[in-house]
Order: sequence, then structure tokens, then C-alpha cells
Amino acid sequence: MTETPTEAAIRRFLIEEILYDRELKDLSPTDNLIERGLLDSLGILKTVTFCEEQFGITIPDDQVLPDNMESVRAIAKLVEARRSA
Amino acid sequence: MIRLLPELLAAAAARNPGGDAVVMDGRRMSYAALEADANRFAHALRSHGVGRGDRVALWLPKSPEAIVALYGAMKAGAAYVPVDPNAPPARLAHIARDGEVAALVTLAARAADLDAAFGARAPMRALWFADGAAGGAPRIAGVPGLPWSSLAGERAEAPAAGTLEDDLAYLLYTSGSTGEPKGVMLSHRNALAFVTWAAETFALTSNDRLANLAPFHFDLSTFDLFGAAAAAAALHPVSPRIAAFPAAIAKQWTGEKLTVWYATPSTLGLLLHRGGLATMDLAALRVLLFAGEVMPARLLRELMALAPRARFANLYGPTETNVCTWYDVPSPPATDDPLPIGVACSGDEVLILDEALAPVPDGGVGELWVRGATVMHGYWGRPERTALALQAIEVAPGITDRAYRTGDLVRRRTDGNLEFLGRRDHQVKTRGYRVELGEIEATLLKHPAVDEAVAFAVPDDEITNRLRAVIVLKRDARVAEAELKDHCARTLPRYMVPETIETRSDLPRTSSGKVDRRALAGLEGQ
Repeated sequence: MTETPTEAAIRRFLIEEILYDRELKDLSPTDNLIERGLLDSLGILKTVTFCEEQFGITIPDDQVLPDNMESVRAIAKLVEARRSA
Repeated sequence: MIRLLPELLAAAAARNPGGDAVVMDGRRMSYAALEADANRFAHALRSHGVGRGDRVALWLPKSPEAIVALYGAMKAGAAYVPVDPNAPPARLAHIARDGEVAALVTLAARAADLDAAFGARAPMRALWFADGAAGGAPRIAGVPGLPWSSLAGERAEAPAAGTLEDDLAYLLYTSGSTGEPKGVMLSHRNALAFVTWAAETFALTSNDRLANLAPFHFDLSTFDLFGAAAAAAALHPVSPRIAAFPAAIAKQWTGEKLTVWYATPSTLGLLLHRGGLATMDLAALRVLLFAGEVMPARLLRELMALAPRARFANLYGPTETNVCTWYDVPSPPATDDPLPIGVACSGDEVLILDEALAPVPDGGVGELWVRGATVMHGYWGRPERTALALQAIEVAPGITDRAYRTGDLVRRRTDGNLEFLGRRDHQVKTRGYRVELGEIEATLLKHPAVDEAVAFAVPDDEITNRLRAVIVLKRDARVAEAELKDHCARTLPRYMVPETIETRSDLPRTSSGKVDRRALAGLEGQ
């Protein structure tokens, strides 16, 4: 599956800073992070902060929702939407 | 007179059969349906020889099936053992072996992971998959899994109780300082002492709708589950899908007009500061309870301003005693002084003792000991740990009783309320979870490259504490930080994995040669 540069940056951040697990090195952009119990509330806060700093955007609290955070692809889509906001 | 937890459910089903017992993910389960399904599961357990004196582990995401399973286990006469659904399979396997569980309820989707974690041998004789598993049901360590649909063939009538009130109702595993989680044994009588007190004190009725955010392995959930049943009220568990999203939780709790909320201060802070709670309608909120960590006065003032007619109370107690003191907040705190933990409740008595176990004069600092109805039976399979935690002490002149040593330092204020001042050991809280720093250190030391390890907590406004660790490597050893985190995540729950693991050539020490955790946490001079 092809991956955009935004997706790649988010995936790298998740694997290095949040998920730890070597077995997740092959995390795909559509893998569900929430169903697999990989992102908890602290992980979400850190991911939002990372995206804001890395991509120079702001993500309002009311957009930090399961639909926008459930996969690498969903997070990247949120980032792109905030870039053009 | 109710003697057993599942009798609360049976009584609710008798008086409010059509009322909502569980409302979750668009599903509604009535009290009659919950009672019937729990009975069916109890019969199924009994037919596999699981009953009084046994334990049934639950390792599955929060769901109506998980609630059926915990009631069914108790109706069969067994204790339920809820395991963190997000814990690694190795931790479940460890707890299942340590707790010698007779049955396991999990998901077929997790069977392969569990099979690998258990290896050839598993303690359980029976296994159910709550997510169906039609066609070629998987096995775990040789034990064939049964689909949840198989319960349909069981009888819906209650099985004969065959359980006494001092039998175990549940076993809650908490972080252990020596590196292994330990199972806190709690009986029906223990749980009912708290639940009965709470249902009466907060005047719960069948018109109430109780929020449930706490996972079932966290003892806050016992209020939600059994307080709701005691009042035949509706329980509204938060779906695992939204449990990490403050904005979604705030929307659910206000949108479903929940009347009773019970959560950690960390969670309430996130709902307020990240979840947009201040812009929502809290008119339905009647009772807001919090526990698990210190409530900042400023946060409490903000919450009380949003729901001026609601009752607010601070509940205190380690898992070993459930809630043993409470502070009924009379008005928004005028100062930023720490909120007291209040006075004894749930049929308990509290004592403040010095190191020689002598009572501390009023106003002095001492360790809190608890005796009475909610005090645990001990730690499963650990008589020496139990003997340290539960000791016979003089509770009044000439009267001795078994009391639990909390490890919490407190002081009694002139108005009679207790104030929490800190810990006498290395236990810390993060997001309301209790963590023994020693368990993290013991885990790091199991890595072949690690010679010394120290874990410490750095205070944080949003989650109370962030966990960090520093290690010293063995001679000529090399290891990446990511590998050490990975090593921890294989056996520890996610909230216990340090956010950073730094390698140093040596550890800072105090003048007495002990590792200086305060220096590491940057707390010098505070």
C-alpha cells in the first residue's frame, strides 16, 4: 500500500514514541489503532501535540474524535484538513 | 437482606424487569434479560465443573457480554478476575496461572495471541468466546473455545446459590512492588458494605443513569456496576471505541443525560479542558464522585460552577479496602489547599498510627490503617505479603482486630476530616492507576543488557504523574531505548511503560547511598 509523506511521518512517530512494539513495524496506514487498544488517552494527547508541532497546524479539541484518530490514514486526513483550514 | 452481589441483580430484575440494565453502543439490555443471560452462563460454568471456590478470568473489551460474564461467574459461586483488556497476552497468561483460573472469557480474535502466550499448558478447563466464533472454534493451549451463542441452550432460571457472603466475589490484580502483580481478594460481604453505603448515601433510584468509564479491573467500576444494580438503575458503560476521547465522552454523558458520574480527577480534568464540557448542558447531573488521586481545588471549583445543584464527593480507599473514607464537599473550596479525604464510611474505622503502631495525637502525621467491613481477605497465594499488609493491632484499649496498612500518610484536621499527605513507599498514581515503581524496575532488570534500573514519577498537570526510567547497562552491553520499551510493553500494561528510558553511566545517589529518585525527577529543593 502506498503511503503519503504525512502518513509516513505519523507512522514513524507512533512506532517510535507510542507503540514501542517491534511487531508493529509493519503498521499499515489503515490498521485500527483504537480497536487494537494501541492508543490510550495519553497516546492521543501526545499524537495531537506531535501533529501540531510537526505540521504547524492547530487541532481543535472537538475534532479529536475516534473517526479522526482511528488509523494513520485518518490522522493524516485530519492533518491535511487542518492545513487548508 | 442481600448477602451476595448477584442477589442485587436478581432483586432488580424482580422489581424492574423491563428497565434498562445496560445501555451501550446503541444496545439496550433490560434487567430481566441480564438476569436470564447471567443465569445461563452460570449454568454453563457449573456444567463444566466451575463453581464455589473457583475463579473465572475475563479478558475482553467492555461490553454487555462482559457484564453477563461477571455476574454469571458469581452466580455459579466463583469469583471473577477482570484483566486489563489492553494488557499484553503475557500478563493475562501470568494472572491466569497465578490465580489458577478455572475458566476464561475472551474473544476468538485474541485466541492466537493467547495460545502463544500460554504455550502448551493452561490452567483453565473451560473457555468462552464472547464474540461468537462460529465454525471451527479456536483452541487456547489445547482448551476448545465455546461460542457465546452456545449459552442459548442453558436454563434461564437462577442456579442454587451455594455461596457464602465471605466467599470471594472478585480478585483484582494490582501492581506489585516486587515485580509481579498481586491479586486482591474481596468477598461479597466486602463489596456489599461499600455498595450498600454508597447506594443509600447518594440516594440512587431506578430513575438514575450511571456513567461507567472505569474498566472492570479498576475498583471504581464496582460502584458503577453494583450501585446501579442495587437501585435497579441504568448503567451506561463508555464504549471502548471512545474511552480515550474526552470530547466524545463528554458528549455521551451530557447527551444521554447521565445523572451519576464517578471518575478520576485526571479524567474529569480532560473532560473539562479537552472535552468541551464547559459548553455542554449538565442539568441532569445529580451526583459527581471522584477517587483514585488528589483532586485539585481549582478543578473542583470549575466543575462545581458548571453543575451548581449537583452533589460532589471525594471517595478514598486503596483497592484492598475499596472506599473507606469520604468527603462530602459542602461548597466550592475557597482556597487551593488539598481537598480532604474526609471521614470513615462503608462500616469501616480508620486509625492513624506511628511506626510503633501507637495512635498519633490529633493534628500529627501518621500512617492510615483501616479495619472493618470492606477490608480485603488478603493477597491471593501470598501469605507473607498478606501478613505484612493485614496485621492484628490494638484498635481500642484491650481490643485487637485485623487492620489493613495503607502506606498512606495522613493527618486529622481540627474539623475531624483526614488529609492525605503522601506515600511512605514508592507507589505512585498515573491517571488514577496505581503503579509500584519497583515493578517497572524489576521488569527492566530482567532485560539481559540492564545492570541497574530506577523508575521515577515526574508530576504532571494533566495525568498526575508521567513515568520515566534511567538505567545503567552491563559492561560492554548496548541496547536501544525502543527495545527497552518494547521489552516492558511485553509484560506491563501500557500505562506502566516509562515514557523515556535513559541510559546513564551511573545513578544519582543520596548521602546514604540510596538511588535519589527526587533528583532524577527534578524535584530537588521542593
